[in-house]
Amino acid sequence: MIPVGFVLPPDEATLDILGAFLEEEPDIFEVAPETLWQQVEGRLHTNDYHALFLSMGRRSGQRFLAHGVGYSVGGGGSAAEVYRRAQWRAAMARDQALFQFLWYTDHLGITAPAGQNTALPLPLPMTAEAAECVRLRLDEMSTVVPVVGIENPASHFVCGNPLDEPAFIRSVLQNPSRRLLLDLANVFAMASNLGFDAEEYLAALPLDQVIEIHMAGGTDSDPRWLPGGRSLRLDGHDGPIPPEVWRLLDVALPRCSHLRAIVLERMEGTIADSDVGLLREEMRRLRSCVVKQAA
Amino acid sequence: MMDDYENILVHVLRARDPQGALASAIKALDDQHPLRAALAAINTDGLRMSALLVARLRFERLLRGSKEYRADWQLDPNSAAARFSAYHEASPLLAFSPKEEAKLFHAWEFVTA
Repeated sequence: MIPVGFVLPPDEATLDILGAFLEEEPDIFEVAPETLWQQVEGRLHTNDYHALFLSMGRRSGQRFLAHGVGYSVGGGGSAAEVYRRAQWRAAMARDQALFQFLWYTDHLGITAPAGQNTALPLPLPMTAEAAECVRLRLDEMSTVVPVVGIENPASHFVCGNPLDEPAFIRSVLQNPSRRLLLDLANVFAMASNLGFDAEEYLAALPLDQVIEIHMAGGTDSDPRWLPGGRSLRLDGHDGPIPPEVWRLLDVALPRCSHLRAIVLERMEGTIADSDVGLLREEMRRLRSCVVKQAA
Repeated sequence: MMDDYENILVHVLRARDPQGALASAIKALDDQHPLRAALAAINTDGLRMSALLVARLRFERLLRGSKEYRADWQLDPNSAAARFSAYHEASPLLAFSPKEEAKLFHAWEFVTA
């Protein structure tokens, strides 16, 4: 059966609230590698969550998936960036020996443009040069964790027609061993913000290369943030999965023939005691979708 | 081309007026530059939202990393926000952790005081 997982939150208060939920519900754990590290003068050292998450995995017997933000898979080849990524891979290699990640994905985009940390994945121009750049970064990542891939973005803007993005993703993943992490909340957010049909976008993606699906909720931005008073859908992982995203799961699931996990994302600091019941319900609904699909 | 794109992106996203900064960046490219059309296709609301989120993530790093700034923010949010805005516009995004952000912020304040 396809496992249903949960992202381990790097936050003591959230871990306390989740308590038994983390022992009872997830079949698999996902971690963002950067939440295991602290940077001291350019070097990545382990932090307290490193040992904690490792012990949680050992105690429960659950396997780990790595899903990062900061490798900057669309980033260029300046000397500083080459050095930064080498540091990153060295830390990943150390952790791969311990966590034995089944696969490693990062967001399609740039998070360290010109060596600066935006922390927010930014869209790439949809060009052959950009696709080649991502393919090279995936080759680098695969030297540490053999199975690697990218997540479809949740960009608030794109450099062109958003419905050209699936073709761009296909060109990035032209090596059939590369994988797609299909984030359905991202598809919903982009479709809402950029005004396209989510199912049309979904149908054009290489769904046979999907290894993992992400499910999450989000919220709309405060209308006071933009001069025109418009709200945009934010990929905040801070609320229940909306009906539109459940609907996209129904559409996508039968087409993802190589799917190996579904993971529920929820941002640390956004979970109250009263949310744990909802998270259990969401995990169980995901599991029933998997069972229904397998039948 | 990717180097040009990255440089334009960080400049525009840290600008006080991202839309104006993008328009200036496009104007500065020669007519045949392959990025011209790609940059011209960027929607304004999405660009502004991305700029806001980059600033917000940096602000949250600073709040987590500096007890001193956190105290200032509680005491006088308007003044603390203005200091952060000036810092954000003037300083490249070099910190990856809250501690580093705090260190860079206080160093910047020391130098500009």
